[in-house]
Amino acid sequence: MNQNNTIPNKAIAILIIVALLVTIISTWVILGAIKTSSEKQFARTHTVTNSNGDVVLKVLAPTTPQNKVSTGQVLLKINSNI
Amino acid sequence: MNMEFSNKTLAWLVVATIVVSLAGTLISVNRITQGANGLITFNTTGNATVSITTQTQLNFIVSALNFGVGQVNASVTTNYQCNMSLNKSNAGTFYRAGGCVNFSTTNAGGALTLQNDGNTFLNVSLNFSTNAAGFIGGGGAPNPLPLFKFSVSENESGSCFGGMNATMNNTYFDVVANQWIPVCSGSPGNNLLYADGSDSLTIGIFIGIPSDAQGNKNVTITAMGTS
Repeated sequence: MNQNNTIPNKAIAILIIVALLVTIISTWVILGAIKTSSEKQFARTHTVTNSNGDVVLKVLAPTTPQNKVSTGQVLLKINSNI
Repeated sequence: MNMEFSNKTLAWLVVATIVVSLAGTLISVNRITQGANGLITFNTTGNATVSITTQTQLNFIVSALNFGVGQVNASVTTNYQCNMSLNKSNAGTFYRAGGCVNFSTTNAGGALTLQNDGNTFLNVSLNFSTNAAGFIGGGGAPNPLPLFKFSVSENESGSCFGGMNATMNNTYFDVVANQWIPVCSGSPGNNLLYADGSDSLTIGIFIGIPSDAQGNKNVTITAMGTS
């Protein structure tokens, strides 16, 4: 037995499993962040790109429904009947 | 020479791998959550970038319907009433029946007209500030009750995508005070369009004036467009 082998093989195995878990979780977190970022960027917009992939037209939709009102009037004057 | 790594060395390598993985994750997430700011500014020479913001805009392009000044000649009609109306089919000239004396014969600009001046589809609803009794008044015996009705039709063909509300199109309905009435909305995809040439509605108005009604009369119609 080598004298440098102060860490047991069981501990090494556990560390490797932890490394695998960290890698998997990291990948999952990154993919989630990409999805969220994409939704933020495109859910409210509509983009048109040219053949180079450049954005040449971007239409920004309102984040919430908007209301606009306009008023009209009906008028008359009625004098005493005859 | 023994080139085998000790378990301790392997353990440190694993720990280093975990640290690098975590650091990479943190950096990646930080960069991603900063968003894609500047995406539209990286264009090379010759590229034009345009951003168009959605605009919700609904306007009465004919906002006043003025029946003018007149009176009711009760002796002319057996029901003591003057009826007048204006809608799209009247082509700007008031329809009149009964004992209407004087009053206007035409309205400047024609019938009340609503137009989508924005660049997005709109659900349109109407609200009247008062009803026939509040607007016209009168109606004491032997006079008939006052009448105040409205209709809605497409001023330009195809303006209301999906069609007008089935029972609303060009039919007069009694006005109910302070109640929002959907006229080109409700069903999915049923909206007032915005393209010029097919983006306007006509509001028809019908009134019946009993011979005992008098005074200055005014009612406000509020149109609401929701994008």
